[in-house]
Amino acid sequence: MVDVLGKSVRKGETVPLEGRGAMTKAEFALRSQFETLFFPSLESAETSKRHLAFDRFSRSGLPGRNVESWCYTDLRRAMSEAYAPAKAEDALAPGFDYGPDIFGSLPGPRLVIVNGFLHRDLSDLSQWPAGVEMSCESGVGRTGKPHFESGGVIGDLNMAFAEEELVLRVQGGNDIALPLHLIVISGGERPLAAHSRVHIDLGDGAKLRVIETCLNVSAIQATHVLDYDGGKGAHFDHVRLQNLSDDAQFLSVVKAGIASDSHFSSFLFAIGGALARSETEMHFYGENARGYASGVALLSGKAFCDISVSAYHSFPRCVSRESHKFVLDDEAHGVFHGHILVHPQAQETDGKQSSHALLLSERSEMNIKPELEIYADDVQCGHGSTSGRLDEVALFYLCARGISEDDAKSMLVLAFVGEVLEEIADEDVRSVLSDYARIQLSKAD
Amino acid sequence: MQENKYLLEIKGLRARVKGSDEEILKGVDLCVPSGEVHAIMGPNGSGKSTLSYVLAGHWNYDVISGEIYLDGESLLGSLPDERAAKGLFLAFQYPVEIPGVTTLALLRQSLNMQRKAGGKAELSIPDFKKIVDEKSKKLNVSGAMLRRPVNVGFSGGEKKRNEIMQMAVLEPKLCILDETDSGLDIDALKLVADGVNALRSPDRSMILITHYQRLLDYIVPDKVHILSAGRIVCNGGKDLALDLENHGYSGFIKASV
Repeated sequence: MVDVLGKSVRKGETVPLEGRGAMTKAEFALRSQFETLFFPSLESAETSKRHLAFDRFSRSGLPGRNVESWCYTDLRRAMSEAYAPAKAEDALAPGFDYGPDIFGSLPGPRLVIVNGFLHRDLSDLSQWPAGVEMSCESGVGRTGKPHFESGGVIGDLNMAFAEEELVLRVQGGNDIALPLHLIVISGGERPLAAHSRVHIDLGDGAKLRVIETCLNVSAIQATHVLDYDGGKGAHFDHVRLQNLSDDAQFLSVVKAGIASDSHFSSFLFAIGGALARSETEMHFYGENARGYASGVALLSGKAFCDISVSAYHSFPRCVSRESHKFVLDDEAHGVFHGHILVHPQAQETDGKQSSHALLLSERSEMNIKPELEIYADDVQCGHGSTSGRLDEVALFYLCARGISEDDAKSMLVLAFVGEVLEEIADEDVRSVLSDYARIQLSKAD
Repeated sequence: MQENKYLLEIKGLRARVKGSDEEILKGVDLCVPSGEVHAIMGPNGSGKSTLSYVLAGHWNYDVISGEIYLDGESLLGSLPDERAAKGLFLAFQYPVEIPGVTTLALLRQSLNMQRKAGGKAELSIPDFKKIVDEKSKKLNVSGAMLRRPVNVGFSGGEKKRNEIMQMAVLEPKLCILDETDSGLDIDALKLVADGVNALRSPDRSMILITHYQRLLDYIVPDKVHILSAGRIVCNGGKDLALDLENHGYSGFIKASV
């Protein structure tokens, strides 16, 4: 590796860069990857947007602890190198076994995205419902809603590198009964970087459920962005199972534009990851809308999972809920940032935020940063947050009723997790995830 | 194996809170024959609740010396769940709230673990429901209460009824009722006492731990023991409780030493 001045750079060394301090080896590698992939620049909307995003990233760099919204998640340090981006030849062979489909019992078509590209051989579109249009687009040219413009580090890296955007459109008034399954796979024969992007557009009054599974098959550095743009009175439910191995760095964003009288929900079931960061942004674009972001993280070993959720209230009478639970064993580390921003005009906002962590080991760690930023005077907003050990009194009570200590512990952990699983409206999905939680927790014993 | 003359036999039991030097039980001797109800009375701090926790196997207490036999089998070294499977039941002074676990789920798990320990097959759901329906009616425990998380939002009376209800379903050999009268109004007390009395049987023994004589008007014991400063200082019949009521603990303990 060489720096801008032609000097060789060793791992861990930094190169000074004007404006924002030293450039890390990974940042330097990202720059050279970007230049190799996307230069010479063509004067099109797509390339300029891509270049703008990379420029924004270059100015901010990989965020470290000095960046407020990343203060517990030191990406700059964790990303000591930048894996080479996935290429066409990294596509998985047709019939590749990526493990069991946890939602296999549920109906609906399967769209499999491998390293950012729709994999037609692995996908199963046989139950494709009428009323949903699918296309693969370059994606980065999208404009219109303010939340598509604001990147953040994950959004910027994704916009700079993602080459394909899977777009799902439901025309107004269509109520799609079957859930759509998205299976987002990153990795291949070697450690690699992957950037995937999905855009979901619901017309006025349309209704859709998306069940997503994100997983990796090798060491990865991946970004994954799901943009949602819903019309008035639309109804969208999203559930994501994120199942990562201990060599996965997975950075994801769910960005929702929520129109008046509509419903948006996103549930995250997170397991594992060397560094997983999941951002959910709910932007309200009209009155009387409801946005729910909730989830559970079951972490053991050295897993690190950061869940950052924000609700931006710019219109009156909207409801937002942010509700997350963490179960941390061994040396696992959980981070929760919750942010509710209420602009002066967003009167009668009802925003609630809660985060609760159960620490099963002395060495596990939880950081919680709740933020309420309220500029309107007639609002109901609040947050609650706890972190603690398993209730010893309850544990003894169960044991005294003849239940073994291990079973009693599982019962209490499942009960803890069960409360937030109740947030999932779809009973079938809830039951799949509740069984899955039981399996995961019994594995840990 | 001990001779099965007594259902419960405690010999020279000394115990302390884990990590502390202070002995709370300083040599408790107590024998409870099958089918008898014994009351243990004593002032605050005499070690009554500690005795119940030590019998149930709470991990926060260390037994220094002594023996505990249930039906001739030593309990020391057994885990709390193993003791429950052997037929010991502790009705808690402060029944704990467990969000997310319904009373029905708890009961079903408890009953099945007990059956498993006894080499019996799991109960089918209809059979289980039948047992629960029958027992809950007697104790005025509603189906709604059973479907709610254990004790969450229950009144004091509801919590105690829920304890007795679990006792009725599990049909233990030895019931230890720790201050079951605390927090109960007179109607709730009668209901709980009726429930306990209904469970009296020749092959079941009970230990009532209480401050006050009042509970013993409703559940008449065969024997009364006075626990003071970690020892049983006086044994007697049911009249002992009345004497205690008249003379108070202080006079009584002095007189007996």
